[in-house]
Amino acid sequence: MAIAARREWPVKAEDENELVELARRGDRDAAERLLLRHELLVFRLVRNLLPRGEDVESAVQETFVRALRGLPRFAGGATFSSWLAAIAVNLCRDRLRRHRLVPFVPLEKSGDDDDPGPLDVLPAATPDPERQAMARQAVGRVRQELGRLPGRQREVFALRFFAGLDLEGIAAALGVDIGTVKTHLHRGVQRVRRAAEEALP
Amino acid sequence: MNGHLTEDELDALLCGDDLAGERADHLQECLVCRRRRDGFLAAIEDAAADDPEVPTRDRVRRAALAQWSGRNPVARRWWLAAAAAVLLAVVLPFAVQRAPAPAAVDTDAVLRQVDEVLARDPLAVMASDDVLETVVPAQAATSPGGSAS
Ligand SMILES: [Zn+2]
Repeated sequence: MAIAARREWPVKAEDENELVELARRGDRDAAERLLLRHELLVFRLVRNLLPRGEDVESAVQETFVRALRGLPRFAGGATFSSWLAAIAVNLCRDRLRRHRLVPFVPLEKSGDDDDPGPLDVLPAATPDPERQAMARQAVGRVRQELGRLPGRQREVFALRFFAGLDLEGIAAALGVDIGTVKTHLHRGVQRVRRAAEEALP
Repeated sequence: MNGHLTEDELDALLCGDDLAGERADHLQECLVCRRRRDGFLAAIEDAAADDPEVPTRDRVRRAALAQWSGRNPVARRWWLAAAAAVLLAVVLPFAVQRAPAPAAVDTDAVLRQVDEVLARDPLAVMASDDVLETVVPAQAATSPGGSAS
């Protein structure tokens, strides 16, 4: 039962439908393969929709459980990834509402969060420390601006850039039309890009 | 139009729209415009990149699966079927024992009496019906429906 082998499960649409069908009938192995395929999407989404310090792991776990229990209601009209994303977004909305949370704690200074970000663990071979510092600042500004976006814009932005869904997938996940997705995405990109560019040379 | 990409063009490009031919050519050749596009995408990628370690992912996934399979409808259906089978196995013998079996009780009494008669006189088997009627009174004639006397 090697997990490594499972990760090589071919990503084909028909296989996915088969997995969904098996999981729906209670096949634990099929359910695990489904989760394996899409778990990063959920982790990235949840982490970027909930405020820092919120329990991301429990939110991801709950998303998985809701998805698996809801499988009998999954019609197959949408892709599994956009359906899963919809569950994650709704769960994050619930948590934000329940705790009256502000999506992100705005950073006082760009890039000075406690967690070591990916740029803090770059290999020593990375050339220019100045560029590195600027890139780190840009990441900080992206996160900060993302936290300031209105809810729907932030969701669309996260679904596009962190969960990697296409416009149709985002529309399906949020239950809106593609025009609405484009409008929110355009506004979100406009704001986040400008914020990032302020930190870049 | 040979100038750099406008803000709108750049945003549209990042939203996934295609640039018109000439503008696409410009992007291809212009380092400044490419740097703006790539700088944004790199910042996004870095912001997204702190994914959890594999052990964390495994733990969360397995916890979810355990929570699900403990209460998933298919598993629950099996559990209910098993519980029903056990219940039947326990209750059925009691139900059978408690069912009234009046004929059995009467028959025992009759047989005991017959045995006593036979013990006293083996030739009694040859006895006529009226003799038997005397030895085995009303109970022997008990119909399946009742044991009235
Ligand atoms: Zn240019």
